[in-house]
Amino acid sequence: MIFHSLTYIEFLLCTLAGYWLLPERWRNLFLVPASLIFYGWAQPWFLLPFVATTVIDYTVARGLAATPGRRRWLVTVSVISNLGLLGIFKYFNFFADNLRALFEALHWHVPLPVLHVVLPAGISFYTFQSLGYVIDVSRGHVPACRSLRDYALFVSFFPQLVAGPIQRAGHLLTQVQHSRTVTPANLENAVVLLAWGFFKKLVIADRVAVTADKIFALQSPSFPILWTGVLAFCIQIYADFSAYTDIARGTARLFGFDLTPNFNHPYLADSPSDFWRRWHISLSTWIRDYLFIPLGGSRGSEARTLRNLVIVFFLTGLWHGASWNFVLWGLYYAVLTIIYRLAGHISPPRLTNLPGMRPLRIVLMFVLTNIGWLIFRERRVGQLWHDLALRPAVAPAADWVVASYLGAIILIFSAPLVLHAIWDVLLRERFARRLPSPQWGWCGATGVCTILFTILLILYSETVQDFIYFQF
Amino acid sequence: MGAGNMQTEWRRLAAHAIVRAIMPSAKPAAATISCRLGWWVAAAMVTSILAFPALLRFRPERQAPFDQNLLHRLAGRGPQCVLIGDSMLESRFDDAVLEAIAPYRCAVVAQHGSGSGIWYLIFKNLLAAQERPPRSVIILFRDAQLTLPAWRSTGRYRGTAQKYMPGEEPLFEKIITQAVERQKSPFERLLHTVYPIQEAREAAEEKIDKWALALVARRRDYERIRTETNRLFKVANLRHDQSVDESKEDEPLRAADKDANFDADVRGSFLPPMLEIAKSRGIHLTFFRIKPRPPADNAMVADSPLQAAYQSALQTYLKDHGALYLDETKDPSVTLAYYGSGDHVAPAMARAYAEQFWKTYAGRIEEASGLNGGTAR
Repeated sequence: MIFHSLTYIEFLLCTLAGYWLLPERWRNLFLVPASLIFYGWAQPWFLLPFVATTVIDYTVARGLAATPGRRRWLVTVSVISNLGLLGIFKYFNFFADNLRALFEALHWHVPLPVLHVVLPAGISFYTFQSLGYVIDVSRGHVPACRSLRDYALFVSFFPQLVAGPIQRAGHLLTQVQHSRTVTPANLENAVVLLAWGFFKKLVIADRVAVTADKIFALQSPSFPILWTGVLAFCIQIYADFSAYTDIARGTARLFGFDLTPNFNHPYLADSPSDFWRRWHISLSTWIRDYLFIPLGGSRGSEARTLRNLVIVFFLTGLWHGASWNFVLWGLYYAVLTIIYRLAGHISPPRLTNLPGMRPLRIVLMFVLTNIGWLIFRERRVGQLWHDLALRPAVAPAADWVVASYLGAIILIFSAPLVLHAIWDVLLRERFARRLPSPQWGWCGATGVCTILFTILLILYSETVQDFIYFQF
Repeated sequence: MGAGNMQTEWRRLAAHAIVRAIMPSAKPAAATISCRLGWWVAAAMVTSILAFPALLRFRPERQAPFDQNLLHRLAGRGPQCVLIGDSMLESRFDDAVLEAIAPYRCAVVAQHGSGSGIWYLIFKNLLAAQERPPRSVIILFRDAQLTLPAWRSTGRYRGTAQKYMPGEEPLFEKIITQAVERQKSPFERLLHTVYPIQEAREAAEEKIDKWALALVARRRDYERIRTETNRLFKVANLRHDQSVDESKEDEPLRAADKDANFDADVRGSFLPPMLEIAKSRGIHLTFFRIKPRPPADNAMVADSPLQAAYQSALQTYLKDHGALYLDETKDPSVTLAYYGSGDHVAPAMARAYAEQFWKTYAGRIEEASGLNGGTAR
């Protein structure tokens, strides 16, 4: 089931009604099958690997609590089962295809099987969430969950199941195990998140996606057209993914849950590491805590730190998809991070702290982020080199005019994102301090949500696209 | 107890009842003065967000005038055979190629991004409305496209449809409205009834388009920029492996493969009125099902049992109404080599395709329609 469908609205209303009408002790039990219906709606067989992950990791965690001496062995079971599932469904064909190409290049004829299966939606998210829980239990950060029902709800809670944010047991599982209430402030917050999330998805992301898709379907776009397409994709992917997070968080609030945020104005980042502190926060913190730090983080020698960065970004890229462009995208960020790190060692602090330097750094990082999005969006590596070699001087004059027209459309649709960033970063705090009473804040939120909902009704895209991160 | 206290108590109970009704499990302890007020404000917030757009109304305006030039151009040429279709037709034939290979005057009326509703308007208002209508009209279609009346005829295609409407089109509107209503769930119908403001979509899109143009050009350049943009995204410029017709907007066409039922769908389609007009104006209709892009090994792709039953019923229906049904999907000579992007024919192969088509099918079309090489040009 997808968020931006009427089926989901119907499902949500029924689930909400059932949930709040039931006595408290039945609510978790009610949410588990509801979440499974949500997940298995289009492809019921998606439930098989999902249930397998849930049962294995629940059992492993219980085993960790019962026999701490077998910690290493049990964690290995969880790692193998989770990464094994990912390997089969997500990476098997990728590795088989590459091996086949290698064998062909060597003139060896080795028949390799091809798996004809659809990638189960959200598999990368729930396996990481479940694996994170097992590691947390093994480290003693959280106790093993006694109730299979509660653990199943922690993994399957439908708002965050398909595309995150990847939750930590310490945050979500604790809420699952305790009673929950909804306050008026929760409700207001949920309404704002839902209105803004649906607006970003249906009005911004799906509208600019039309331009991005058209440009990336061109055989040989010129320099201005290509980079207009990249800009469109840059807006699309942020609006799309952050919309999913907002809808997930807003929905969770209606059930009395709090999900961690996933974005913090990533296009205001001034360095690659700052970007990853603001973009897909739940993944980058997961990678940091369960991979980067266990590898040694930045505590060892400089060479070891750089090696760790390369490994981490390589795997971050590969997490996004079984394709070389994602690997390249990850390595691109590894290179950027290393360059920034080395430059930070040699540039004098007086220069970096000069007034006006931060806006310049943000602009530079935005340009670098867009180059990254080109690598991310262009699946054909051969075409990528061609795209990166394009020169503005040889573009026809007519293409500059068309690019500026398409750019203006993108600008109009992305204006609410810019206004939101200005409000959030510069104005929100000041306004909050000056309000005579909290009710004024509610009035403002109501006005903005009414406008968003009205525009959404008029301008929602008829060409509805799946959330981009569903494919990961 | 004083009247004031009674009133306060009554309000407290009412607020509590509403809170319990909305959130039956919300903790009663939370019903402090500020929390009660909070629930009232929250309820007012949700109500005003949902209610305000329901109060808005929109009166649609005509977006595009009837294209008189096309009518006059066709009258001037007086073609004996006209081909109608969407970008599938546009990529396969053009006037110049047909002029060279056909022994009589032919014309191509290709409207990219069109469906059977727009083809009905073209047929009725451009061809059947001619003083001397063409003898034969060939309509190129895909799969169940002929019984999907609302597909590519509503929403953003409305402006295109209006280009072929000289005046009111009550039958067109009726068929489209019924088809759209059929596709909606009861919940969707309710939403459209409550929020008629959704009708403003095309007008709003047009306005945004004009704002974008105003940001980059003077008014006199608007049309030139639009033309340049269309030129940039024409089929010939697309990647060959990029199937534009596998995009989301083609979902209704693909979905029809799973639930196509010709007998149930034909009554609500544009086929009956088209066949009726054809009969009354002495025009012979040919419906030509084009072959979708074949796989890399050119292997024959069989129709699903449902699609096969649909095509068989369509063929019988057309035969009973004096029209000709031709199906290219089983033609092994139409190989992948002909194809450009998606189901479109590559520009370099268009002439070869047209010649092949003429060689294979012209005889049957001529025989059925009474056209022949001897008909004066």
